Amino acid sequence: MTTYIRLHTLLGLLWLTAPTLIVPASQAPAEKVTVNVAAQEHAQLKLAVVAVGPGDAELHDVVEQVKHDLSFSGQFDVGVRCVEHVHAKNSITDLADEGYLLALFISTHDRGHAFDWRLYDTAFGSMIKGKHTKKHGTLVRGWAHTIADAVWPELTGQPGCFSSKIAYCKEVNPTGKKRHTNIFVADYDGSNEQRLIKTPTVNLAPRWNADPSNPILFYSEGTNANIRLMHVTMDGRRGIASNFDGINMLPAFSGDGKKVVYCASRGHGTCQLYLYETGNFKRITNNQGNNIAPTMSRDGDYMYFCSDVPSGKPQIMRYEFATATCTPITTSGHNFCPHYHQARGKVVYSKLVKGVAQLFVYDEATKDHKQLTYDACNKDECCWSPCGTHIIFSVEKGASSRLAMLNVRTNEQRFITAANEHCSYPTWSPLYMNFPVITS
Amino acid sequence: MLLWRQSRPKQRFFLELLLMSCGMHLCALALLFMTLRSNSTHHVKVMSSLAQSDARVVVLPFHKVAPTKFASNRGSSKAASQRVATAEPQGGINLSASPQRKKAEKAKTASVKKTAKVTKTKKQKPPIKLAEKKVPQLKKIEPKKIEPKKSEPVTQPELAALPVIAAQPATVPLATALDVQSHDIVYVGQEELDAMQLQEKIQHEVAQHWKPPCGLGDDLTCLIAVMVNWDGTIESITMQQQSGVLAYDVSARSAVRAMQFPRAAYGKEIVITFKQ
Repeated sequence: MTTYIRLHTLLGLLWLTAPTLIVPASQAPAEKVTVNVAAQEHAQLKLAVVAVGPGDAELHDVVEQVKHDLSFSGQFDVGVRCVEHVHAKNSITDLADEGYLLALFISTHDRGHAFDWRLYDTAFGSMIKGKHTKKHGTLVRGWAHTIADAVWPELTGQPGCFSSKIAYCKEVNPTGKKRHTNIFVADYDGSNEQRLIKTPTVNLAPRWNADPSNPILFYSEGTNANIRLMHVTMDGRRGIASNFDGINMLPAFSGDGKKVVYCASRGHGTCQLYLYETGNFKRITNNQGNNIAPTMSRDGDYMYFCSDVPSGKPQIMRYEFATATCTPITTSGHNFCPHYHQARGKVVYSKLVKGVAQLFVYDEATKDHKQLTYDACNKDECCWSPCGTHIIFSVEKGASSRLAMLNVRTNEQRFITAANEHCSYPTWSPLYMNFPVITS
Repeated sequence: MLLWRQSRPKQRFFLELLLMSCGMHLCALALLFMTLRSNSTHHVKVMSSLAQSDARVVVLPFHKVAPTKFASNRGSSKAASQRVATAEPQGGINLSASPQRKKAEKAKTASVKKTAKVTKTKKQKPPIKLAEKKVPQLKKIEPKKIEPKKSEPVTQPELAALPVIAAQPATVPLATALDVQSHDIVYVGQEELDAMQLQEKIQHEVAQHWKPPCGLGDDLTCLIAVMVNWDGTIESITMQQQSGVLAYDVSARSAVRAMQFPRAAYGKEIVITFKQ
């Protein structure tokens, strides 16, 4: 009987303690709620660029340029801070209180011969990525572009194009009777414009080679006899690349730089494509039409170009070198000026829509054509940036011609040349390992 | 020994009683434990798919979870149509004649789009008229009754008013409602309704705080699990799946940190999928 009472007392105690045993278990976050959320609004992400060092003017210039580069796309709201030292984790997490979610700390390294950048998550004060970058060349903005190119993929998962260049033609005496067109080179955003070709002739259609360590610009120069293909280095040394009768224009390089295709008329009435590959010179097209604006794949296995052979109207064609077969990409309307992005597999081109040239993009993978622009200005001579995020093109309205840039991710469009200038034939270089310096 | 056994029959009786009592207590405890530990994750998942469909919602307030016979109507209309197809043989209809079946299904999906109008404007008219003409067998499952006005089911945009609907459930002729618009009516229990409302509140809260930079990519997804304490504070934030884009992940995590979780989320694990 006593045992019975004792055991019942024990059970009673068990019942009394049951809530303490069970309720916490139920209170533990065992219930799981799954929620799917889609972004309804977009906003700039706050990013701090911090110069670490005591009163280094060069470092501050670099930091300012990095700020400019990172905020160029409009995706980041970049603020600049200067500190002498990073004492503790608190100095990083304090930035989170100011609303900065990420912080890029830049300091000089290796007795001023290199920069050290570190990307921090301000919420935890933890480093996400850090790297040393050596100073190449003498241009401060070049150093900054190198840092920005290294940081950008970490931030966005996409390659940057800050160390690339833009070349284009500009009329230099537009009011006079004799107009000349010179070749100019500028940074990726159209700033720091420099004249590379200043001969008193008509210079047209610049194209960059594919070598990321040795930039050479090809362009066509009008002479009394023909339009010849020229090349020029960044220090201004020029040479003739092709000098057939008629026109010699628009070279396109494969990604490895081993193949080049360009168009030449060679004294005939029509323009044909020619391939130059390690000493071999070969005619690619042989028809009664005009075949122009070639743009090649990375490995040089195929190319896209514009031809008016099938219908009398210009169409975009794809040519396979191995099988020598040509496939039309577009079949109706006027389609012209294709440019192929070798990494993204997309062709941007112009198409006449109700009499206005608009930009379209063709996706190789999905075979889809998508219209990118809709306004009333003619847009042609389009070209991809090396990162595949921007397209540069000329916008013609009446007699004026300006260069504009379209960010295909944000759909933001901006002019990079002034309204009173007449600029055309923009072309974007590859991303250079060392920022090119023009010394001509 | 025998003598001893015989001399203590009372004690033996008490021991047996004790063992039985212990067993019952333990069973009761186990039941209590299982009840309190039960997890409602699956209910919420049902709601998340429901929130994206155009289905009508009928609340069954006396059920924690909608019974199986009603639960078969959950989900998107596509899934529902599949379920209807599987349910039809139960009604004695032979679906082996595929052309007829296709026609009937087409007619049904066409009629589903017009269900709202049908119930409001056409009196006593079965909604799937085409199906009746082409597949007479379908008449067998067609109802003659139509749901009365009182029991008009709640549409998704009117979720805020759901508790009011829940207050008058007895008048809902569920079978009729089920038969008339078997495609797009969803029956939910009280727990499911609560989960649905919680989900909506969280979605609203996240949408207020999450503003990722534009142009980062079209198909980015990151998964963040948040443990909410019983006082509403965040116990932990775990990035379960990264998008691969730092700016995107950081913006999502920052939004979670800024969120004020609704009271119903206290003590729960909230898994938020951020889709661009």
